[in-house]
Amino acid sequence: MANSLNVKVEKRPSGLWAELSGDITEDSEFNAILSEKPLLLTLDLAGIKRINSTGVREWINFMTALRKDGARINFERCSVAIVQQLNMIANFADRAEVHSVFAPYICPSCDTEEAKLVDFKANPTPDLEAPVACPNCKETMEFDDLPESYLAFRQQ
Amino acid sequence: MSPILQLSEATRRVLLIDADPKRQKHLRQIITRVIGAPETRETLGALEGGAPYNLIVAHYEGLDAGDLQRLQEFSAAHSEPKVLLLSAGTMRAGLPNMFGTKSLTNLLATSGDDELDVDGLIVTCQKILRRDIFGLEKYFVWGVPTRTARINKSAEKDALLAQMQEYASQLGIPQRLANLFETVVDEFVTNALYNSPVDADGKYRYASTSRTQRIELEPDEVINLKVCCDARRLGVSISDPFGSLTRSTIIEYLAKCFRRGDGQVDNKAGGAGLGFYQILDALSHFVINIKPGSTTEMIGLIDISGTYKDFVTKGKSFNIFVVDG
Repeated sequence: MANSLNVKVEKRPSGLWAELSGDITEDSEFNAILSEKPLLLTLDLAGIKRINSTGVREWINFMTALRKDGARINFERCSVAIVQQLNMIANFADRAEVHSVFAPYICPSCDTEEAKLVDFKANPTPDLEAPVACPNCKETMEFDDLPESYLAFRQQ
Repeated sequence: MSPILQLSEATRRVLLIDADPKRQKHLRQIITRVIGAPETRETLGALEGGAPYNLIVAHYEGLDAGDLQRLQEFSAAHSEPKVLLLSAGTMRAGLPNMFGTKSLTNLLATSGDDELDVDGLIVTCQKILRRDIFGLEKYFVWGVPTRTARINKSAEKDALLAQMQEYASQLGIPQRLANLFETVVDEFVTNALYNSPVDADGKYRYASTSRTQRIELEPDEVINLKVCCDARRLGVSISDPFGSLTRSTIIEYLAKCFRRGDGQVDNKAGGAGLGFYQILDALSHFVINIKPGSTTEMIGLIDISGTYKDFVTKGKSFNIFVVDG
């Protein structure tokens, strides 16, 4: 079942902070953010599980509306689903700056899946294949995507 | 004396083009043993439409740019023989080029180490040659249980997706692969409900309808969804009773998305024009079967034998089959 999009908005000294979780689909609404007309907006996207094709369009329209309002946008903690769309859809980020993303890992020993945060401010050129210990069995996990293309959106 | 056993379907002729001798030998053996001895060439050479071949099988990596262009032009100009391209490696780089030409619509991936998917080759060749195209079951061995669902209103989609999540969970596959499956089901169902239905004049009934607006088909207009799994691949198919999808529509939408230009995402009424792109990205093998005016069936196969990285490392297969209405 599509998990409806949840939007939690918080005003911080640094600007508006919005935490999004669930699926982005045709039914998703971003009015809680747009109505604030933010000048500086940080979107925390760690909780986005899936985005379908009409959800992509809703997102692009959301980005366009923010830009028209003059907002500066930062993406933080982008989920794997968000990174997938950043790589597939040319203007998915519009003019937003992507500050951090989650990278997927899987343990070959016990099949545990885990996403690790990659912060570009702390580490502008991350090594996605650096050893990561499995939280379950302590074996070394493997990066579960193509290291040469997972961050391709940064070059586009 | 009349033969007890008919030994060969000798009327079907295959041209096999591959410059790699070892690979060509392997392909020739398979085609010989299943269909009949093919004519073999190392390069494309001269081609004529119609006779004498029913099918041309060529290895993508063995074709130079000139040969590929000639094959594309040949495919665009002639309905027969059909062309089946085989490709090693990821082939992702070649997909935009392939869809940009809008002519080649049969691609079969071999795995990264150039190991051929023999089952896939046989099924694809026979579907092209026999024009017996429908059925998810063709891609699975006997004994694999198939589960079916019927849907004819958009309000049922969320419940169906919940069932499919549960099904994928029971299979115990990695979450990223389960998410791909859910994406495919979502896009398959949305396409079947909104883009496929046509009225008596062939006009699309709901293509321009907002996807947030609930729609309901007539009681006899049922969308059939099937899923199955053989431990190596997870399969899903959806069929509608309209047969309104066309080869050019699919290729145009895919070409538009692969170009990644300003028009990548549609802002018109209706869908975003990204469905086929999202589906192809989520699948190992995407098959579209069309009997115009009667049936469209989309089949998706996801390789679940390993991790997501294994899935994404292997190539993608893509076929469009059209039989006369």
